[in-house]
Amino acid sequence: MFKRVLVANRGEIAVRIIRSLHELGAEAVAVYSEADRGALHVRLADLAYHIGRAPAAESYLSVPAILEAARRSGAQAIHPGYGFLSEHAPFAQACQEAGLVFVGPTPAALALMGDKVAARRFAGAAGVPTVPGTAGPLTDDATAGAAAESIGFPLLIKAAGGGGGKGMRAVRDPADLLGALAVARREAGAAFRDASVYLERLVERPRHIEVQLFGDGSGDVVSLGERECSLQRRFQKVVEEAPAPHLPPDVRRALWGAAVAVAAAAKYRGAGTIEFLYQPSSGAFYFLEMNARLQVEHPVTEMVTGVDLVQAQLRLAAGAPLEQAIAAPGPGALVPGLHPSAPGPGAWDLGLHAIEARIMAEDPAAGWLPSTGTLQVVREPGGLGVRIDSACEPGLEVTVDYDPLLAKLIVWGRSREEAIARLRRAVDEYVLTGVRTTLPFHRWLVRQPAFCAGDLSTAFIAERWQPPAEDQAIPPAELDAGQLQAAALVAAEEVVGRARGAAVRRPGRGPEAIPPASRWRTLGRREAQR
Amino acid sequence: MKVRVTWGGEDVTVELGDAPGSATRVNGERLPADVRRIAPGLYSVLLDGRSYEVTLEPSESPDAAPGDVAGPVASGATTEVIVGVGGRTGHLQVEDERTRAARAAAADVISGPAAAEVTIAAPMPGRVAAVPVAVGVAVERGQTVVVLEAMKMESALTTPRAGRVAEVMVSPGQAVQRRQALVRIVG
Repeated sequence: MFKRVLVANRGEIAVRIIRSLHELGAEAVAVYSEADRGALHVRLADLAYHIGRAPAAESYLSVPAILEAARRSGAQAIHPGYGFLSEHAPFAQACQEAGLVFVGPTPAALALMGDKVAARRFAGAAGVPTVPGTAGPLTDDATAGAAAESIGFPLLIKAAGGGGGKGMRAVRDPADLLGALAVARREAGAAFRDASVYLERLVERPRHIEVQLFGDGSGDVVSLGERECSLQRRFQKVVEEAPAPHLPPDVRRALWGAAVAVAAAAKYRGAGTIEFLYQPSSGAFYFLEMNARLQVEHPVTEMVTGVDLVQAQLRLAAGAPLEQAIAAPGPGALVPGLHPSAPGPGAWDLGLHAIEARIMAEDPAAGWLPSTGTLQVVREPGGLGVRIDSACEPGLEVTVDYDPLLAKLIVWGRSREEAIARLRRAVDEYVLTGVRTTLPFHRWLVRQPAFCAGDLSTAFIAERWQPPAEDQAIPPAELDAGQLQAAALVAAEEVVGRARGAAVRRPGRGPEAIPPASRWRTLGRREAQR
Repeated sequence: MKVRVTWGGEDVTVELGDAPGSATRVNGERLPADVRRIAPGLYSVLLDGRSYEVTLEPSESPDAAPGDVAGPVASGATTEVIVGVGGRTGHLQVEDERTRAARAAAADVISGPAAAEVTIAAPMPGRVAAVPVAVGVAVERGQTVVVLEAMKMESALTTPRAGRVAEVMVSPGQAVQRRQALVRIVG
C-alpha cells in the first residue's frame, strides 16, 4: 500500500477519501484553494498545500499546481475524486510522466470514455444498444438541423466533453433547436473547455439505471450491482438507490452483463460506472455513457455490498489483484462468486437496500437556484442505518466558485420500506441553516406515495414536484398550532432579546455551565507550582 | 412586553414575561412556555410538555428577499426573521409595542409604496449569460428576463408579474453581485 497519497479534490469527497486513506494506514495530502484554507479536508489531512486562488480553474483544475504539491509532499499517488480533473486524460498522463500513480483508469480509457460520441460507438461495437443519435460532434448549425430532422423530435443535446447535466438541453420543438444549441455549447465550453455537442433521441419517461464496475486493466471486470438514479432535475441526480426497485431479474442480469462486456472490451482499470436508460414499458435499455471515475452516489453501492470502493481503488492502484482489492483484509475474507461471465447475486450482495439524498445549496422552491451564504446551524442526523458524507461545519462559506453539493445523506435498511422510513426520520432530524438547501424537497419526496411505491422515471420531479408556497403568504397548513406558537415565541424572544441587549437565556447545562478552558488553567497552575 | 408576530397575513400577539424565556400569553391565552437558546440560531421550545425545535436566521433586508424579486417593500420598522419549524420555514415580521406606536405616529408621513413596479435582482453572484428582453417589451408573468450563470449552470430568472420592461441594467457577459438590480418591470 502507498505511504502517502494526494487527494486532488475538496468538500465531502476529499473528506471521504482521506478517511479511507487513514483506515489503510496511509497519509493523506490535501490541496486547497485560497477559499478553502479553513476547510475540513485540510484539517483532517496529514499534509496540506495551497494550490491557488478560489476559482477552480486557478486551483483544483491546475495540473501544474497539483503536480507541484505532489512533488513537495512526496506523495506516491493521486486520487482525483469526482469532477475537477478526475476524467481529464492529460492529467492522468502527466501523473504517469511525473512518476505518480493516478488512482483511476489509464489515460487511454479516459480519452475513450471522455469522448461521449466515441464511447457510444465503442459500446455499440461491444454489442450493447445505444440511443439513436449523431455519429459525431456537430460541426455547424446546418448539419445540426439536418441531423435533428433524421433523428426526430423530441431530442436531446448533449456535451461531448462531459456529463453532470452541463451542456445538456431537451428540445421538443424544431424552432428551439438553434437557441438550445447555443446555450448547450456555452455551458459545455465553460464546464469542460470543450464546446462540442451531439444529438440523441429523447427517450420519454425512462428510468436511469447504472451499473458499478470494477476492472483490473487486463479485461477482467466484475459488476457490483446497479443503482437507480431516476430522480433528477435538469439531468442532475438528486436521489439514488441500490438496488433498483422492481427490476425484473432477467433485465438486471442483462444490464450487468452489458456493462461488464463494455468495460471488459475496454480493458477498463479501477472503479467505473456505465449508465443506461431503461424503458420499463418495452424492457429495452440503451447505453448512455461510461463515467470513468468514482461516482457521487457510490456510497449506496458500498452500503449494499460492504465494499469500500475508495479503498478498493487504492489497493488496486497499489498493485493488488482484482479480488484482493475488493475483498476485506484478513483470513477467509476473499469474495467468492465474482466473475464477469456470470453476473448475479454473490457473496458481496448483503441483501440490503440503500438510498442517498443529495443535500445541495440550492433552493428547490425557486427553480433549484444555487444559494450562497454562511452555514449557521449544522446538525446532521445519526443513528442506526444512517451515513453522512459531509464537509459541513458552522461558519462554512458556500460560494459560487464550487459545486453546490454540501453533503450526502445515505440510509440503508433490510428492505426498501425500512430504508425509506429511516430516510424520512433522518431528513426530519437534519438541521442546516444559513443557505437554502434541498432538504425541503427530500422531506416532500419521502412522503410521496409514488416514490414509496417505486414508481420512478426521470420525469418524476418535473411532473410531480410542486414547491410548497412557503416563505410567502400564509403559514403552511401542515404545521399545527403548537409549531406556530413555538415559531412565534422564538421570533418574539429573539427580537425583544436583541432590543434588551441580551440574548435569550441559555440552557443551564449548556457550554456556559462547564468550567471554561479548565485544561488550560490546570496546566497554568501546574507550571506555577513548579 | 407585548409583541406582534406576523406570518404572511396572519398574526399573533405574544406577551413576554419579565424573565427572558418565560412567555406568558399568546393571543391572550396563558401558555406555559419554556424557550431556550441552544446555540446561535437554534432554539428549544417546550409548550405544555410538547417539544419543538426552532431555527432562526436573520432575514436579509426585505428588498432582497431570497429569490429573484426585489419588489415594493412594506415600510415601517418591523424586524424580519426567517424561522424554521417542523421542516418548514417562513419569513416572520416582529414588531414590539414601542415600534408600533412610533410607526402609527409616522403613518401620516409614509404613504403607500408604489406597487406598480418590480425589480428583478441577482439572487447570487454570477455572470449574465443572456438578456432575452429589451426596454419597452411587454412581458408575461413567469417570462424569462435574464439568464444568469453561476456554479457552472445557467439559471433563468423570471418576472413575477406581467408588464413592460422599463429598464435593463446589465448586458450579457457582465459579472453581477448578489442583490444587484438587473431588470425593472412596470405594470
